[in-house]
Amino acid sequence: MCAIEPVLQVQGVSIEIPTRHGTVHAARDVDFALGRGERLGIVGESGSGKTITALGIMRLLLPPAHVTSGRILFEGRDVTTMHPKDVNRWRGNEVGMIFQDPLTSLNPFLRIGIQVAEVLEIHRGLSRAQAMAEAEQLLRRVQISDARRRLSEYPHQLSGGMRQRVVIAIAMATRPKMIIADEPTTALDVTAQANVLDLLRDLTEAERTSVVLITHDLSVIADFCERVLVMYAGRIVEEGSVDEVISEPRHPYTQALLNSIPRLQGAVGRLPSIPGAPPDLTRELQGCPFAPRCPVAYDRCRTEVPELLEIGPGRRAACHLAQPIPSNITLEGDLAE
Amino acid sequence: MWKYLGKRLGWTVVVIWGVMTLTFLIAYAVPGDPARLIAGPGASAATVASIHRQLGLDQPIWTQYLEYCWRLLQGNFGISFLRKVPVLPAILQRAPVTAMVAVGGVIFELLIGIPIGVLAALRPGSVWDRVATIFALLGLSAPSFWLGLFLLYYLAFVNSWFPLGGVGSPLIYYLVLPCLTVGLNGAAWYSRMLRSTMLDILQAPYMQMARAKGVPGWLLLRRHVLPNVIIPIITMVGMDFGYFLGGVLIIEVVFGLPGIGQQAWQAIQVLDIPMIMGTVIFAAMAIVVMNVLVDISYVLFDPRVRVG
Repeated sequence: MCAIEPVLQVQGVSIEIPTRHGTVHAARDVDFALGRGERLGIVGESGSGKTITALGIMRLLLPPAHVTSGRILFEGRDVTTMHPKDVNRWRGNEVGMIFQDPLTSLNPFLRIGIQVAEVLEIHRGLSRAQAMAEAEQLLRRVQISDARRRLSEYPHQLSGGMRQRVVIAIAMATRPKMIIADEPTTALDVTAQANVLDLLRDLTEAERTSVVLITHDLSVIADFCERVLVMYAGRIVEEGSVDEVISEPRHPYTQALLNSIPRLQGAVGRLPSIPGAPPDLTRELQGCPFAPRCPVAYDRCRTEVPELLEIGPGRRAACHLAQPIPSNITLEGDLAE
Repeated sequence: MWKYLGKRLGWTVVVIWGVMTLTFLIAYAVPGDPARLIAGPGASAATVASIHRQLGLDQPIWTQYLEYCWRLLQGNFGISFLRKVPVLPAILQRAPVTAMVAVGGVIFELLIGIPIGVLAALRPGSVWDRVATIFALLGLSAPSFWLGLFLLYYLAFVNSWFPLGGVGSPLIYYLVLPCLTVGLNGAAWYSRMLRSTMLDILQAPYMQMARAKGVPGWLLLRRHVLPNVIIPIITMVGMDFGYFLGGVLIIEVVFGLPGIGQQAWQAIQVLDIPMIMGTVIFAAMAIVVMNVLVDISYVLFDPRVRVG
């Protein structure tokens, strides 16, 4: 179906965290692919499983959290079974990660220079001097003024926006094929948010880097991504191109998320929020996990878990009310007209 | 920086003055008459009175206090009631033994405590972590006099690997067991502190970031973790060292070492007030000076303190 081989294929991945109060099913049967140069967004409330999925892909899960099933293929290689040494050669080299809080994701005891240069030393075998020279170039590329001086500064001497740009410089240093950005703008003020997002777009477009952008903010996705996955209770509940999902959401949860975005036009009033709370992830699913909060739920929703089904070209939804494509019609034939 | 140091030194003087005053008051509040202790049980009231006069104990307490302060300002710590020698030289003469026990003790604390704490933190919940916990529990709950006697019995009496106490030549041979006793007790603290500090660091977002950069394990530990635990270690070493310098009293008594602690121990028994005062002031100074040194070292090791 995909003309080009995808960079990343996540196939039926489940992640569990055994705790004293039972096993948390943090991600359930997560399944998606990421094309070369594609910018994919993952959106959902906190606890929906988006971050844990990203950490699972990066092999960064801290015990006791672990992947219980599924495969994660990066250019055909299964990350879940990779030798730890190969994981270290792969991380930071072929994939980069940007974390939520730039204030805490840089080591407070190390100078900026060494934190950027070390990826080049480790993965490209550069000497300290070469790596430092290149680190300076990288800082320039992420529009940090006075790059040479910044090399010898410590993180606390930089503003939040600058620190996040340093983190981006680190993630992009080895020209990775894929970047996972976990809420890269959440901790920043609004102007810095826009700057960081623009920078990330420019850099990844220039390098044709694939991006997975994780956020709880659909407007960031609308601004940055081409395709979007909506996650709820550890499952993907909707997938499609950003335009389609925003203009015509097929899952009531996506609709609810869209309703809760503040708008500049229109009536001023209380911002709608989604009633109820996300479900207890330690329980086995009885029906649709969104059913208790869903305005259009009916009997079937409470007894039968809706499967994530293809409902159109490149569109999937896990809702009994979303119409799947009847299997007897070939889509290609229709479109060929 | 200099302004800060000046302020710190000012406070140091205040602290030492406070400690001195409190010790003075306590020494005089203690029931018992040093003159009677010196004169002996059969001494007549006249003898006791004359000793009182000689030592200046017949003066009102505030006169004695002001006189003591005045002499102290001139660097005169007074004359020992018991040994009739100037207090300060007596303390300084015994200080090297105490200092060597302090240095050796700190070295053992670090040598034993750091590896145990680091290994426990790297594999939390493992068998090794549990062994480390048991070690820490024993180390924390074993009183040093018991631990000292235990080591003496097994390593010096049953197996004559080490001398049974006192000092001789080579000195280091006589210092191993006392230092080990100090070190084992302290190592328990160090291992616990290091374990929790390291667990905090290992879970910090910047460690996740470092892992995401593909930093291999050994470099992760050396570059991203260990520099960050230096600060708490320095803090503890500074406090310990200052504390030990004031006399590792129990250790010196158990091992018969002629250090400050042993001398103070003898002074307390006969209410040798100048010697008690001198030792306490010396100990307070050691602690206060070490604290200042620790604060200065933060500037060297923590980049966040350096600026601003």
